[in-house]
Amino acid sequence: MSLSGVFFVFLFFPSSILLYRLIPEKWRNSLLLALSLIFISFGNPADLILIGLSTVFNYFTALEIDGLRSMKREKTKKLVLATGIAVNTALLIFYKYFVFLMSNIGLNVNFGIPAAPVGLSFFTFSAISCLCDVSKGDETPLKNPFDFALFISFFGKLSSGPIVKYRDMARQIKDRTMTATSVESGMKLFLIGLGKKLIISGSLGKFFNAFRTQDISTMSTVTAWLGALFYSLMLYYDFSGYSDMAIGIGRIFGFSFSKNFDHPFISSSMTDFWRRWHISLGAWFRDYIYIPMGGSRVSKSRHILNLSVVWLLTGLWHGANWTFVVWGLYHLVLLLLEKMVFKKILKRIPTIIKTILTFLLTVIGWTIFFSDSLSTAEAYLLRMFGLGGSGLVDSMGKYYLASGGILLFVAMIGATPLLSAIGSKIEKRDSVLVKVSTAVFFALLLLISTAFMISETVSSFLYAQF
Amino acid sequence: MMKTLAFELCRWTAVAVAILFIVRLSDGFSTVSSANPQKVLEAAYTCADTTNLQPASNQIIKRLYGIDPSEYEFCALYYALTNMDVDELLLIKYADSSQEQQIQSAAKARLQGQKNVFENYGVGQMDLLNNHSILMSDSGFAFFIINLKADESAAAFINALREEE
Repeated sequence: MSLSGVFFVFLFFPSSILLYRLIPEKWRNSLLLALSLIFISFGNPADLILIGLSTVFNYFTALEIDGLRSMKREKTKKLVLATGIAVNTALLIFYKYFVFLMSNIGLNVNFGIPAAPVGLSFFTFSAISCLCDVSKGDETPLKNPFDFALFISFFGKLSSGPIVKYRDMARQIKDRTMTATSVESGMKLFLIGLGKKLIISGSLGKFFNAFRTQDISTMSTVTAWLGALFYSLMLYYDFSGYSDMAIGIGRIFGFSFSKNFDHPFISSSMTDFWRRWHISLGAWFRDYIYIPMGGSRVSKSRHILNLSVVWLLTGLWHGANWTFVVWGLYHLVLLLLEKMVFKKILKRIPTIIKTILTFLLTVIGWTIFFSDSLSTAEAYLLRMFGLGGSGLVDSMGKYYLASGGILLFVAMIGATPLLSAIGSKIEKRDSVLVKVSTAVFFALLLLISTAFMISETVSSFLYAQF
Repeated sequence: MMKTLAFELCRWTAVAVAILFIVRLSDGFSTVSSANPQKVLEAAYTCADTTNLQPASNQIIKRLYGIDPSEYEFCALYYALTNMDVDELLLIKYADSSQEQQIQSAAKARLQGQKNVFENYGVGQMDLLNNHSILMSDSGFAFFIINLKADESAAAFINALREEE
């Protein structure tokens, strides 16, 4: 079931809210769990069993770790933590990377691996965060197994994030409130996310799909850059839209999840970009890999090693392909250059120049990301820099600039804080006109999103493939 | 101590059950052919009756089979020149058993759909659909053909898979 599908938006979601509101408070977590299980079963019912077994494993592992910590049996606790992390990682490696690893060592075997359970990358990371947080004593384990199962499988965040850390959700599972304000705010965020995904990302996607079918060897420089721009913005609106929907759903049920995107295209450095793009993933790697390895409070060589491990894993997390590995390492190199080589020079450069440069560098990175092989990525990048292809501009480039230029411009403006700042200012005015206009705006947003929803045949969330 | 042992038992039981479940869901080992998909396609196409066949775009594949070619490593279709013919040749290289099942379901639905169209009036078409259609999966490739020379084409497909790239 997709969060942006007709069934979810018009039946599952409103029914969930109504049932949640009507049911006594002590049963609300159980209701959310039941709804989450129904949500999972709509995809592949076999996922219920695997997610269930993962939940059982992590539930007992967390309890055991907590018990060992209180008994001060540190060595055994670390061993249990290590095996817990290893089992979760093994599940992820098996489903996502087994065939890739086998083919890279020359073994073209297919184990007939079944499809990965929905949200595998997200719920295993959430589970690992639980084991680590309990081990450190930052949180106690959820004793009620149904509450723990809700943490793992909550439908709002299961399929494509955000990656919610245990310490951020555990207390809210035990204690939260659904208020009129949270429902209104959550609903608005959900609708904004829906619009971003269906209307803007969907429209950008139609243009990008046209680029995908073109022969790269005959592409002009302008066409190559246009394709990369369409993809960059399409991915942003798709993923940030989905994150908004997930956070909005959580807010309606009283959960407060942190934002996952913070206008990444206004970043003035790569460091800044990674504080604004897929924030939950970056925070997870920072808290559970980078800092335990020593972070930046180590020797220079060790710092470089720590960053290398994080960026290798960040690339791999996105998929089993060398393009993702290279994309991760591309960002590593940029970050290292920024922190260790050009630090003083960059301080002297005006922010606007740094912002444009950062934007262009991330767009270049996305070409590696969307290519299906390194050779395709290389060919595409060569076209972007005027090597080979059909020169600077061709008829295709002119056509897509003319037909998609306005959409690109609007999408780029929308990716800045401008519109949300205007929206916030308008909302602060307490008048009937503002209230009515706001209601009309969101009604229109839902109407137009519905039209896009119905017109697309299949539009699975892009990041769901990760 | 007893609690720790109980937790250990529970969690490793969950792991054991998960392993059994995954093995049960999987289809066992098979080798994936390293043959060049384009060469496999050419081999199968050459041995088919190509009189009525034309190459299909990705949009046509989506329309006829409801699958997205971009999700597969290799996906190619030849389909009939006119709506009154039913000749088709589909070759897809898939990554896992779920994709294989998806392709099988799509091909079966396509075959049944064509049978529904030509039932009661298309004698020649129904003969091809009932007696000259083959759907098979082997070594990571799915092959579907409706053609007078379906047997020869399928044999060429299998032979081509055995050739190393």
